Amino acid sequence: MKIKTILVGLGILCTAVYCGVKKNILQTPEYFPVPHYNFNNNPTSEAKIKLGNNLFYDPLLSANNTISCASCHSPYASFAHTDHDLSHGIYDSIGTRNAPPLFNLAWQDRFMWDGAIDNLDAQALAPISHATEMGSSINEVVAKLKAHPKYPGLFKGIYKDTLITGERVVKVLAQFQLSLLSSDSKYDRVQKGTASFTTKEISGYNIFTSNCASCHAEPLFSTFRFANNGLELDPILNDIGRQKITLNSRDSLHFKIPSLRNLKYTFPYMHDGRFNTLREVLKHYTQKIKNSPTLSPELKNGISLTKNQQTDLIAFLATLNDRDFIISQKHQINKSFFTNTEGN
Amino acid sequence: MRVKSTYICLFLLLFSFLVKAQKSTDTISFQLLFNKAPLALGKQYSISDKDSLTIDFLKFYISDITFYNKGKYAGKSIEKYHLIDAQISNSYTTHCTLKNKEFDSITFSIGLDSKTQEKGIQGGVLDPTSQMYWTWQNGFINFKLEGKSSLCSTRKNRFQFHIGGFQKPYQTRQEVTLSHSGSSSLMIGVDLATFFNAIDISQTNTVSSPNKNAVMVSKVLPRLFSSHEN
Repeated sequence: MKIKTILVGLGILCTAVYCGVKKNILQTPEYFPVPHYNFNNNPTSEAKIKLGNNLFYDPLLSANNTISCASCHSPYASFAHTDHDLSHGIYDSIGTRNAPPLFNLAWQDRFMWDGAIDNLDAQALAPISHATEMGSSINEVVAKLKAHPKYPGLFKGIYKDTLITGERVVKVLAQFQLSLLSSDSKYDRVQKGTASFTTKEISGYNIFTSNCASCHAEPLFSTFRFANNGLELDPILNDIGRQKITLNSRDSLHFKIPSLRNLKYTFPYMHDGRFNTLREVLKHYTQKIKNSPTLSPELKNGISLTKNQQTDLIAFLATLNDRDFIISQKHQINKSFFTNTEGN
Repeated sequence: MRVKSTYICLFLLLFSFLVKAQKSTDTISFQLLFNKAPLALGKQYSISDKDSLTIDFLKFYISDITFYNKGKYAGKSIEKYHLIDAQISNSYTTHCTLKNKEFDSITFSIGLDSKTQEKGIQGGVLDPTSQMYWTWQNGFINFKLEGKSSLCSTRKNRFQFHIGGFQKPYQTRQEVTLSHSGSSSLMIGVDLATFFNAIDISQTNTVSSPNKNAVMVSKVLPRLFSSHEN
């Protein structure tokens, strides 16, 4: 009888321990939805995030060791590329789209402006091998990492062997990107009850909920779906967006709806970086919507906002800027890793 | 009580070994061919009086190999996925577990199922260094064939078939069923000449995304496979 009780007790304990094994160590606020990312396929750990950080800032990922992920995804720009309308890559080449900011990626199910990639782990393969981004290949990256004085030891610390595979490289890179959580803006502090909006911000919030929220839904400030927001087609870029991926004309001029968090740091705006200021963006939505068969139904009649309403809306959008995220040391380059790379 | 359950456990363990012992492991070999002769990468094959082609790269996934005997399940491959690489002769062979040596038909897929595709980056033959995961979009390439031909008016006369796609309406995984007589181990021929007889590479020579052409080409692939007794 006693043994039975002990066994039952042990069983309960084991179940509790098993359920308690966290696949995701990232701290997210209660009001965030359940993440889309499947952490079971890539359980997070501090060591992996740290290794991913090194890889993210390492130009070794490019063919001639000049371009790192951070070249176009700078921490000070909320991991976008401030002041660059189109992304810049290897050998001074220029891409066709604006480098998007990186944060709260675990809640997104499709990546790139056209949603070409539906898996964060796989996303890194695109810039690594793109001729105008890093111009390399995952095979080349793996070979360089194997020959590196520091990386094999770091992989061994995590995987108990020095085997560096393509899978491990991209999953570790994904871990760092998953750790980029932006949830400390004033808006977040209001949600947590530690701050309150000003009258102007409340007015802006109300304008936001009745005009913008259907696409830029709280608390991530995007549904991360695809939409045509009435931009005039750039005749040189001739970018039809998501249609290029789905080959379906209903997706013509559809682009991924970006989050409105951290707008202060992520200008210029839109998939081709055509607008430099939020005033220009609002001018587009209030005056310049181009009608076309695939235009988002919410925008068929444009959005009408007075100048004062626009000012209030911008005041609210400013509460979505997360300065703590921008200056957070753990997201910055680990300088000690990149010094003395030659020696041991 | 405890002693009794230990015995039961031991018995079950032994029993499982016995069941396992009845099964046999067998190999299944794929033989890459061009017009029934072993395929050589880089070799010039004439396809008409004036035109020729060379194959420089060939890799494809074979998955879910299953054996049947008189309509009943008779065994399967040990690994769910197998990647055949024309450059690596070791990759031509895979191991299977058969209930007994008897089977009269075999089924498998050229390519990967959508569940595997959706899971994305994985290890082993699914590692992105296998050069079978698309970089600019998601999904694995099921069948990758590259080379040159005087028939192709492309840059450097190249043809490039990266056949993949698992989402509607462009699904490219194809099922193959082959019948097999006798009870010896199996050799499956993969004749690339059939590919070029079916696809006019002067017209269709570059397919590298999931689209109508990819589906069209994928439908030709099962015809490349035939079974021979070893």
